[in-house]
Amino acid sequence: MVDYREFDFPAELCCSPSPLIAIAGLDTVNNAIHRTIWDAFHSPVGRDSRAVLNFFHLTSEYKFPTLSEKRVMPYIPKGILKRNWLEKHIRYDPAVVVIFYDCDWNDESWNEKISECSSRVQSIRLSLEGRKSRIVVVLIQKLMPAVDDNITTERAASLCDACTLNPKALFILPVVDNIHGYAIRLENAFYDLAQNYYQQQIRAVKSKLENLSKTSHQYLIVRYSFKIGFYNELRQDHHNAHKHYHQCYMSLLEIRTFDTNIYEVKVVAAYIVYKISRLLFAMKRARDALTQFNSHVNVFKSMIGPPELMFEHYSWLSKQFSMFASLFDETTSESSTATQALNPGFFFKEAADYAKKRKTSAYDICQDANVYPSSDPLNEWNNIEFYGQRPWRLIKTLNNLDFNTIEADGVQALKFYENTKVDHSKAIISFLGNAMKQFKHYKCPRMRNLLAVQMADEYYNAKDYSKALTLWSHMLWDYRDEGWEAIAHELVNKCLKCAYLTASVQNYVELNLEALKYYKNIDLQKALNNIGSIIQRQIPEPEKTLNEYEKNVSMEEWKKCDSLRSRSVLEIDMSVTNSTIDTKVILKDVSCDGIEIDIFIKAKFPILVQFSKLIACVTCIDNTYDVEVCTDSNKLIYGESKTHTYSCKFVPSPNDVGKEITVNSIKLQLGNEPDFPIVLKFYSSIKKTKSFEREINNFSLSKTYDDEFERIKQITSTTLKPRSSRLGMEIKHKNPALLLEWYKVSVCLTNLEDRPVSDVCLNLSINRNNNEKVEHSIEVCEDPDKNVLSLPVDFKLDSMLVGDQKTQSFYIRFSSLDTRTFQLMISYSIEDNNRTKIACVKDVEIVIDVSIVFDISVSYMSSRFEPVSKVYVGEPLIVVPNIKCLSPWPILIESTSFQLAKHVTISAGGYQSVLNGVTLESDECASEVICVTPSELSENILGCFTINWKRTDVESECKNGYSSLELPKIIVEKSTFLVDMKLPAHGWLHTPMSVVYFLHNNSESLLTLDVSMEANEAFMMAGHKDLNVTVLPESTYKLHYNLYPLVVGVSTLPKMHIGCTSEPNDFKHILNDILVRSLQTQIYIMPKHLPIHHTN
Amino acid sequence: MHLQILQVYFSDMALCVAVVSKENAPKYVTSLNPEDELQIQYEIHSSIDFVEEKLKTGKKDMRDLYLGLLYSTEDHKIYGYVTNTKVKFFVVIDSSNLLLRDNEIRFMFRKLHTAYTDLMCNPFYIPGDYITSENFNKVARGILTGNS
Repeated sequence: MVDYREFDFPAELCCSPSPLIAIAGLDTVNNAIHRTIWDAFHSPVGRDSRAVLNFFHLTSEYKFPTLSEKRVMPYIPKGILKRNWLEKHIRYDPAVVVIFYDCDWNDESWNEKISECSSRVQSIRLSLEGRKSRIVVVLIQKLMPAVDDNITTERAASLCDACTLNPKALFILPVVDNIHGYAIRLENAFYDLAQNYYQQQIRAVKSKLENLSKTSHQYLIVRYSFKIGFYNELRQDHHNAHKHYHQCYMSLLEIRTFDTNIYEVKVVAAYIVYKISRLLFAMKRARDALTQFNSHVNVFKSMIGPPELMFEHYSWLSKQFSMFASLFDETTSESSTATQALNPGFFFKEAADYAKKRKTSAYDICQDANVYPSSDPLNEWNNIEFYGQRPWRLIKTLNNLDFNTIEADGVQALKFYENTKVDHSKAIISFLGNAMKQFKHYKCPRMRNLLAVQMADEYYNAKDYSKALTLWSHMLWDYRDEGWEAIAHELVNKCLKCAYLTASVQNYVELNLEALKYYKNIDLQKALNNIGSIIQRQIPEPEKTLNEYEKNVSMEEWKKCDSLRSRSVLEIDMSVTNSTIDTKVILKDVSCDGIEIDIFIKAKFPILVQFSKLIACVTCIDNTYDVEVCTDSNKLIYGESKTHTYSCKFVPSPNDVGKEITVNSIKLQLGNEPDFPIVLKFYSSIKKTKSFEREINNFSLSKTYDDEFERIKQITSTTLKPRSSRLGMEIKHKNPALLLEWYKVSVCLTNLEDRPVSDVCLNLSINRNNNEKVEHSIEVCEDPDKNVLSLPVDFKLDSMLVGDQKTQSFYIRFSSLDTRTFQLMISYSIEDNNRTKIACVKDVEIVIDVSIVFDISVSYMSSRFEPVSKVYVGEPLIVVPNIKCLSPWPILIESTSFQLAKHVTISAGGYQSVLNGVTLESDECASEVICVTPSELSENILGCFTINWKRTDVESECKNGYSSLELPKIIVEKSTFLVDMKLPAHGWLHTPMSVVYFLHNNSESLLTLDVSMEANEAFMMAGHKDLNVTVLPESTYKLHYNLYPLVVGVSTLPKMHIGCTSEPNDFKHILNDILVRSLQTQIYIMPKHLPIHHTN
Repeated sequence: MHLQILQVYFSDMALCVAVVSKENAPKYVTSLNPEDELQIQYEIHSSIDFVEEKLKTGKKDMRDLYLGLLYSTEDHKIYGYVTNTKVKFFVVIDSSNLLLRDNEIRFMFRKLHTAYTDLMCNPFYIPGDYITSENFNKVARGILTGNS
């Protein structure tokens, strides 16, 4: 039997045709210029906008296909479409023949050239044998042609003449520069000519078509319309091409079909529909393509043909769908024409469905076709003249054999081929694979699952059990997770069969466990028994749906199965299996001293099942612990639905302190060694398959064991905390702290452990909750005299013996008023019995409020103790700081001081603090006083006032706190004139006293003043009453008066008036102002001092 | 009156009726021919894809709960309906049954929805449980056989 190939779409049909151009006279091998011309035609530059042409070399050896013999039209043909016709026009029959010729207009041997060229044209014209192909001559010229040159025109005309060429068919190709541009222009010219040629062909075919009658020339009508369609396609005229292909298809439907021609009609129909669909998709009319295709399938679905070749019909249908799906996919992958509800996947699925039908019918019909007929009916299949005809009919005509025998042989040959050479499963699987890809792309996961199940079915049919098992088991998870139990049940059955057939112990046990959920009664019992057999290292009972053959095959597999004999333990990952047994874990108590775990097991078995061991696998980063929770198999018997609780405790390694401890898995062992124990491994962290929460869970009236179990919330991982500290710790400090004081905090540690501790360390850090600003206003030191430390600070205390007590103090100074939170961490290590060090940690929070110590306000007074708001240079000023104690603690003022500015001098008598050593209780007030004289006019900053203080209860050696205040500003003015007076503190009645007035002139000019004294009744006065005084620059004038007091008590002094004639009015006011502030107006007169007479 | 006419017309109306929860798990399936049921379940399951797509893209008129024909195979046509709480109803009819119109299928769904609402009103039914109500079963079987 020759290499027969069944129905398919041939390459010449599937390609997208373009006008064929023959190129002659280009020597691309030896001539570089010719090469560049050839390349220019094929260059990809600007391909999208260029005409699509198909070039081929017309060599001298080339033979054009023989022309079909001219017949008397119309005639009755033997078939519909000739097999060679398409290829002929795509590859061999050019629309345009282009003859390239090297020749310049001014060539010296012009005449020879002209004759050579014409002979070439003639020879090609001859070889065309009357074809209507256009002939074009292209002259390759090395010079740019001159415009309107007489010689040029003349020579061109003569050349056309010699070659009998239309002048329009003569082109010039100067190979000077930019060949590419010329090539495009030539291409367009060729394209136009090709259009012209195909148009002519169409006209010729049309004229033939007109002579045909619908009743007797149906084949020819189809053939001619197909040709017109194809010519149009060559012309790139999609619209007309579609129109004629459609007409062609309609005429094809009118052909009466018999068993003899039905296959041919179907094949031709398929080809035409292919062309139509392709064009419609190209024209972006996907919807029309779908409609067209659906009606095509509907028409032909029922045209089965001879029943003994039923499979062929299904094969054909399957091909239709797969062809359409591929076209759909190719043309719509970029655009969004396809949707979820309408995508190529559906057509691939249909293709698979028909492939399945083909398989069934092939199985029904061809089962016995095991002999290829001796007449070799398929021998000539590659030589048949028409598409879709039977090869054996050729033999019949050749050998004149009996029609029926040959026909029967042919059918037999096809059956044989179908039965022996066709891999149906492969086709089905590949269609399903394509469909799945599409459905995945169009987001139909469930449709994809359905197809995957079908694909697995096919793998099973093809006896590829392991692939089937893989696919089915994945689908099982998907369906199970969405709660489709009926389907899951079926899939479990299927998977179990596969697992049995492949003797895959692991899967087999997994699936049996899964099956427990779905099986009832006998099946359930059997599943448990089979698990039991595995434990016993025995071959389990075969699945009941297996046939005899499969049973034998699988028995062989089981006997060969290594794992049943060699492996010691079988571990089953329960995270992918959903069985009637489940576990939950709660980490109850986690500390260095021991970790306590509660394990809940929910089990439901129809009979009592005894497990042998329950192990919890706990992991840390470096360590793993296999904790045997229960090894007493009597406590591990499960039967009816119940939740069993176990709990266990183990001591972790000290190295794991601070790390995450996770209960990784729970292992439940079934059976004991040396049998083949099965370990069910439940990964506790992995989210189990979606369990369907009841929509309203608490609606349930009775609390079943199920609910209880469902409600247990797992705790599977936690951080192992360090051992808690047993050091006694007392933190002493007197809150609140005062602003800018060195605040003492002492920590007293006592070792209450039962053994010595080492590496004791205190770590002070500021809590992160404080804001950043606060951090900068804190100073810490171990001792106020030592350096300031930066936070966080470590204080190392080394080791402590049992009962030892140690105190660590440190000082903190705050320069702002916010409340601070500090974190004090004590860490130390202690050795356990095995001399390994265990770290212990204790964390304490210290909160410190800050309060202000003093409220200090300053008042300024004149020498008369009257408040003033400004001061003149040289005038004395009394500064009085008033101190109010705000501290909750009694405060001892150690000293006060003034830091005066340079221009301020302390008045005679100096400064002596009156508050030294004074203790102020809360809310008490105190005042300090100093007399200063601003000596020159400058900025009105006078200086600072500082109080050094400490709490009364603090030991004396400790560094103090201080409060400092910048004295408030006061206006200092310069005055040209100042007055001063000197008088006693008090006077005596009837006793004269002396008063001196000093008049200071601070200016640099003479000052002429009118001084007058206004006498009053309290005093008799001796001195100038009215006086005109001239005070020299920078000097002082004294005025002496003697006063004789006349009354007792507070008396008003004679009032001094000073006038100035020489200065402007303003000065008068200043004079008055100065007099009022500087001169005393009153004096106290004591009664007359009587000498005591001693009378005897 | 309308009901009576329907009864006369159709002996076999639908092949299968199914209720699927909002998590897409089946809550009720009944079918005329038990041997077909598995295949139909597969098909209903895969047509959930199209329901989800329709719910995602959003219908123009959310008041219309009827989704129309979701999917058709050579043997079956699957129609869908989704309640406001995303519970899905499916009715599967024989592809060769050309007598059933859109309106009749809408009517089937309306009956199902009413029965489902009644079921929800039953205090003894726990929402989310598999539906075992006799009344609901009667309505569903009625849709299958056309005797309601």
